Amino acid sequence: MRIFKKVGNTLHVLSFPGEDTEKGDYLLIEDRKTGKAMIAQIIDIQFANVPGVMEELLRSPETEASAKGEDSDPLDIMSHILYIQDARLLVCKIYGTMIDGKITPENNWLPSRTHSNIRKLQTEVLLKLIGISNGLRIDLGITQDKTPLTIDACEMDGRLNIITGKKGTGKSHLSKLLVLGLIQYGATVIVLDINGEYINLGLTEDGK
Amino acid sequence: MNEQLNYTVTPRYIFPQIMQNTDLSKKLLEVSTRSLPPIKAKSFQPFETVLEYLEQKPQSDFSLDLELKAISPTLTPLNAIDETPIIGIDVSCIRIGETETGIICAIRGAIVWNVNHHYSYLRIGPFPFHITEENKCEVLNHSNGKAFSKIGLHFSSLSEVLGRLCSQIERWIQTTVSYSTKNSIILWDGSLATSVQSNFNEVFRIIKIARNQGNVILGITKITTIRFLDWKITDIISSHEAPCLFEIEDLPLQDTRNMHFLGRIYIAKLAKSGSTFRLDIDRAITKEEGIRAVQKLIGNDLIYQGYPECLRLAHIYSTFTANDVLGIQSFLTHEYGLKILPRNNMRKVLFGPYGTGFED
Repeated sequence: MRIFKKVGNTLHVLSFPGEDTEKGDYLLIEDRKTGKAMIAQIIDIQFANVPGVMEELLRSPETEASAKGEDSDPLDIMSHILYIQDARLLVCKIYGTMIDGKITPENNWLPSRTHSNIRKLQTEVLLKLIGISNGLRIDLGITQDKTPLTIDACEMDGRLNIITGKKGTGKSHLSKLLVLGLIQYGATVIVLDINGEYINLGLTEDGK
Repeated sequence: MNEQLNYTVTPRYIFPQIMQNTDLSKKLLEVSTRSLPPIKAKSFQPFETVLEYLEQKPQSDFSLDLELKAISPTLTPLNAIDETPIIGIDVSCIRIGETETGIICAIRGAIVWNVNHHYSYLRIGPFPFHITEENKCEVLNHSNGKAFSKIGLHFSSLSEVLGRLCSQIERWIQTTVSYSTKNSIILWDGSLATSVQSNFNEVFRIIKIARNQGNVILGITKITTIRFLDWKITDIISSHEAPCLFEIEDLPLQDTRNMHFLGRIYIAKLAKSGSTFRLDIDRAITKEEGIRAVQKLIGNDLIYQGYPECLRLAHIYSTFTANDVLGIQSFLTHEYGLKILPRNNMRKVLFGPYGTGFED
């Protein structure tokens, strides 16, 4: 993986076949010269803009209507051509910077294109870096890499906590998990239920 | 290294086992791999804009000045004749970049067959070469088996050497196809005219091989500079009913250089609303046979914008795209440790925004 460009708090990373990454994965971009590391999450994956790909695809013998044929390519240069065709652009959101093992929200520095290592950051490692305490654990689910995701109810205590996101991204679901978790620990929860979607929260699956 | 091609055997036409008994790819591979080791761990500058340097081999069309003394217009309307295999051959080359000592280029060839209105192709390459002043003689001699003298090549630029190498490879492919097919129409990109005796002997030999196998070679030139007085010859029959052939063989020609014509020269309009092209037909066959060959062409091959589809596809398959160039650069960096250095646009460096001319 190589850094392509940075625009505001978005980082574009070039990825090649064999580098398995998915939307939602976290990346750690370690700049060897400065000693800092950027933490970013993949929010979108696109095809890299490789010149000449359209012409290449148009003449490839993949459709029934096109001419059938063979390549005599003893040096196997075609594998390099196809490798480049499958290059991808990872669009990543920058969440912070790690300096000396500590995470800060800094995102306005530029990691080196030529002196940076990029690797996937396991969620488990990220959670350790963030330092989520395990005072009163509320289970939220598991991550893409099968790591249990929890939140400490004590961290929410005495604070204004806001859940934001686009439609359909799970805001209500998360809220319900937190409500149930807090209730489990004996907290009193008041819900201003405008849409009536919390009415059945206290019931089991079979209605009890 | 040579791929074995398997084709269905038909009662009338046995598909050529073109790679079976030739060492074409092997020889190209040898020349390529012999030229590349000196670039190991060296650096090179790719050419600035990939698309700017996409180029084809030099067209072998020469400017002919025609004088009006007597006109014997010989316009022959054509009728399509079916059931003949059509084969198109084309070779493309491209300069990839410059090293400290020379240029890196790549060459690829394509052969397209149309048999019973089914198209198939074989692409040969790409083969990268590193051509320097030191090895240009060796590269050409090794690929040709002839003795190009160092003195003879002394004043040839590396680009000219590339052009010659490309031509040599095209002649190989043409020879191979001529040997291994029978009773077909073989389409060449370019005319059947040569400017030097050595080329004449080689082209003559290939055409003779083809003729002995019952093949007819047609050379089609995309862009011709032939003029009749001041008129472009292709404009003269543009308003005539297609398909037709206009023979300019009998028109008195004033050669501008020492040229040898192995083909009778026609202007062909093969399709309605299509363009007209110069078409050379082997002059060793009769005129009637030549016209019959063109009739077989239009009866068996799609004619797109007046141009045979086999030859058009051969060009498309052999042409290098920008993606191909990146792939070749990737191959060179992986296999030979070649370092790619950015190339400065000297105009922009010196003149800033005033140095771009008509570039964007």
